[in-house]
Amino acid sequence: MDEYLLEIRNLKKYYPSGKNQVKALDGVNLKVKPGELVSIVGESGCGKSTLARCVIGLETRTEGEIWFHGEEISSYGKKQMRPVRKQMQMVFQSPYAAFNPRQTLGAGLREVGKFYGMKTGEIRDRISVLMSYIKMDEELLSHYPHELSGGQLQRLAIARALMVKPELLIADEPVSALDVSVQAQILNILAEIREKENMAVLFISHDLAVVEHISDWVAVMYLGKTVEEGRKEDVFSQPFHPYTDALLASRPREYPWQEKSSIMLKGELPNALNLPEGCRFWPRCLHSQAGLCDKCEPEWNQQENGHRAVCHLVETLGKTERRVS
Amino acid sequence: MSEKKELLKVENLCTDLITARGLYHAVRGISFQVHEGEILGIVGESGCGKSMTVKSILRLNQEDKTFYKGKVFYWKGTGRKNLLELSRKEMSRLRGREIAMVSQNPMAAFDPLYTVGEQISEMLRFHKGMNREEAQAETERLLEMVGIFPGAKRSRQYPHEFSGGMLQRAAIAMMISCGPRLLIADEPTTALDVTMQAQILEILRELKEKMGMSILLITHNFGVVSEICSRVCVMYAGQVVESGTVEEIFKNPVHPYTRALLRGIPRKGREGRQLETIPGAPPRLNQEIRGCGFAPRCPLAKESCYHKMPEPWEAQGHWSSCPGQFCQVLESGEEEEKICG
Amino acid sequence: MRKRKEQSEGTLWTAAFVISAVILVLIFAATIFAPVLAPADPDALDLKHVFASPSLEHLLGTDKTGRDIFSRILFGGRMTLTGAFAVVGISMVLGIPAGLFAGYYGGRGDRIMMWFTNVVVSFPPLLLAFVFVAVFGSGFSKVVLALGIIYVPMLARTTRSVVLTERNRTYVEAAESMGYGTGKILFGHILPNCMPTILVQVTLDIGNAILDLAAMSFLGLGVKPPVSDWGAMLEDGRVYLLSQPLQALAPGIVIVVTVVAINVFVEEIRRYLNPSERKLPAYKTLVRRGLISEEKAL
Repeated sequence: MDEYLLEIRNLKKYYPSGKNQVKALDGVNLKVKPGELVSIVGESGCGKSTLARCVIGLETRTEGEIWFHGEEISSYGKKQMRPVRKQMQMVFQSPYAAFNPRQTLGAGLREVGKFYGMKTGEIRDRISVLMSYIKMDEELLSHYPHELSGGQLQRLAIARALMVKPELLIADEPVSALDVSVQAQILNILAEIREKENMAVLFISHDLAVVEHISDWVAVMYLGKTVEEGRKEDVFSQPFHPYTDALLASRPREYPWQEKSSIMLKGELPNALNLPEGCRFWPRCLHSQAGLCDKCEPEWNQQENGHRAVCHLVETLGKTERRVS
Repeated sequence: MSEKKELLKVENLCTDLITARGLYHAVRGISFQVHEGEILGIVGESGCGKSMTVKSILRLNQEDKTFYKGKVFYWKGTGRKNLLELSRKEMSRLRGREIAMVSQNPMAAFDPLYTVGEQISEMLRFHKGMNREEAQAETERLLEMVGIFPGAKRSRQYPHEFSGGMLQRAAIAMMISCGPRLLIADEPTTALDVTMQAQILEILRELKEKMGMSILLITHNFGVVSEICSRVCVMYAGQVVESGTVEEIFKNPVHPYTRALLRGIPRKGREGRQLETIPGAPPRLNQEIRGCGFAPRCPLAKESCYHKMPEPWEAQGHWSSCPGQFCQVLESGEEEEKICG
Repeated sequence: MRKRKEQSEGTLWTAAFVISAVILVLIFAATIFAPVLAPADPDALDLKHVFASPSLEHLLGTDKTGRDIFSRILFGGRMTLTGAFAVVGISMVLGIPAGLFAGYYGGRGDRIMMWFTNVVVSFPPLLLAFVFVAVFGSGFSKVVLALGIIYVPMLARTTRSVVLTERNRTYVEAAESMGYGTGKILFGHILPNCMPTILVQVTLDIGNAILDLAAMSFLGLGVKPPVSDWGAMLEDGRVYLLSQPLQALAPGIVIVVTVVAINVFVEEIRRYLNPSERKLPAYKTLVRRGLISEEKAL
């Protein structure tokens, strides 16, 4: 049990919608080792943000278990969650909105320390360590959020999350609202801090290039379910699931002299209100086989290095048929 | 490339805006041209004035708070017109019919109270004088052209029944309904997933290839540029710092800013390595900028850069406001190699 | 004198703001220092000089029992203004927390509160005050209490609507993800960000409370003689409106001036807090100050 820092088992989150239910999460399994950077990728609406919010307790799950440090935390109340939250912090997508506009940034950071019982001296030392990590001047802490740029705020948001030395940082699209050069700063800082603090990161993103750059382990989500997971190298070089394959193929090319991207996915994410029968990806899948994919739901198909996918066709689809990007 | 006919030519355009925070020099003297049947990309980070440039071309800013200088020529028929000198009425006749714009937020293009089909037919009836039946048939054809099936059913739906990507495609359908010669696309894929982005880019590519439309594409994503643009302008602090064919810019970026930007993008084969970042922040556009706006952040800046712009550098199909160090980045994955300096 | 270098940003110091602020300061100072400033005892009867015309001795003349109107306005203002502040104070103590909790938690409590609010708001406030007075008896403090309670739903509703927008902002979510308690989030983070809007509502309520209190006293339900406030003075003078117009006009004008000054003051602050409405310097001013060169002006 202790091999994993975070273990999510069959997590489900349904939202009522009229008589039906929107299945935002429909049986997610995920494991995060201490110090590992696990990325979750998928199109918007696939439930990746909901997953993050369930783990940190901003939403209550409908069904399933979340094990953190050998404790089942999914049914914890606010009081019980407090010691857990000390080890699990979150960074949000929009840096501008993540700070209280009427509080100086320093006050926001100190508030976290005080809340978790750190002494004034400890707080001061911790802040100066963090500010050196994020390469910012402590003088900026006396400013209000609207006076700083998005990149500076996102770095401070990371610092705030790290005040209490969490073992797991949940980062929900932390760079998608930022410019290229600022994004590079944040990614560098995340990589550096992760090493220095030996912290695990659950990184949520729709940007495949970013995910490929920083992850150890990648999980691909489609319509509330993980459809493929594995080591970054394996997933990116040899995707098993046709969906992963299609996602990778639709990336714009890096250089203009390369082959242009191909569209292997028609249509859009179906409505989560009425999921298709069988494999939930078959209506958009280029390889779907009538009578198999649209009838029975596929099981996990495990290969080497823990690389696995939920697809009937992992074996049958020869490696040659698949476009290796 | 250069023999191609020019369609739009911007000459030394300056745009000043009065805002609550004072006077902004949002566009500080930029020049570029769009040829017929090409896709020109304008790349830059937020706040560099790229959106303001296209707003100035279409004169969409609040007239009494905006001041233009320079010239924006548009070729129509045999002659050319300076868009900045047209009357408001002439200008509004040009918008939609000759120059159309698709923005980042497709919701903004549609009125939530009318169906998507009604709004597209409205355009057709107003600009092209079609009757109801003709307009409806044309609307369905346009929707199916941008991949919205079935057009008849979809045209009777309201904007909120469309997903973001679908609505963006419908917005493109509406904008091209009157057969404009120039389509301005302001960050058309920024709010969308990669899968949808690929589809939108494919539509834009088809518009160019099949209908010979010229496209001015504003983006901050170099991937999008490399995917569909033929030429590109890199903007920084309200100015064009480098322009040229896409191959040239990616293979041989000259301006230090372009070089830094390109090396800040996570790429294959360089995973886990430090990405190049640019220290400092862009200058505020409400102040006069002396010399090169990038100098305070530039690793190559000399004393003189702070006082006057460096001599521009030029080669076949490539222009840069700064000669940089004539370094060359070799193809992807490999360490770059300094050829000189 | 050299002109102060104006900022190109919008300014709070508009003429309307300065004038209304000066008027308010004068009115508050005058009532606070009434015992020092008043030329005469406001309750001293002087039956020899009833209905005296304005003179140096009696700046605004005297009333039907020879009391100095100017002094009575100063002292009456103390009642009216303390009353108005008390009304608003009561509504704040009850209304703001109610709005905060209803907006933050939503659900059944919120629905009940909104239903109750809609019922209360759809009655004219004075009618409710009558009912209250009819049940609990008249008197200044009871009228103040009644009005205070009647103002609660409106303020609660305003607070709730701001909370609803604030609670969806990411900083609230960030605070929740830190594990902060509800009290800390509500009063430490959400409330400060709602304060600008709430303050505007509160200040407008002060103006309304002055009017409502005056109306209650005018109807004889508020202060009891010999104590007086502006509303009661208006009522006293009403009978002589045609023969001795100053009797009613003096307190009436003071009420109007105070309420208008408060409203203008609030409006100006609200305008300043909302950057998009700030008054911008004209283009010509910018050219004159050399912020734009002439030739750029096309």
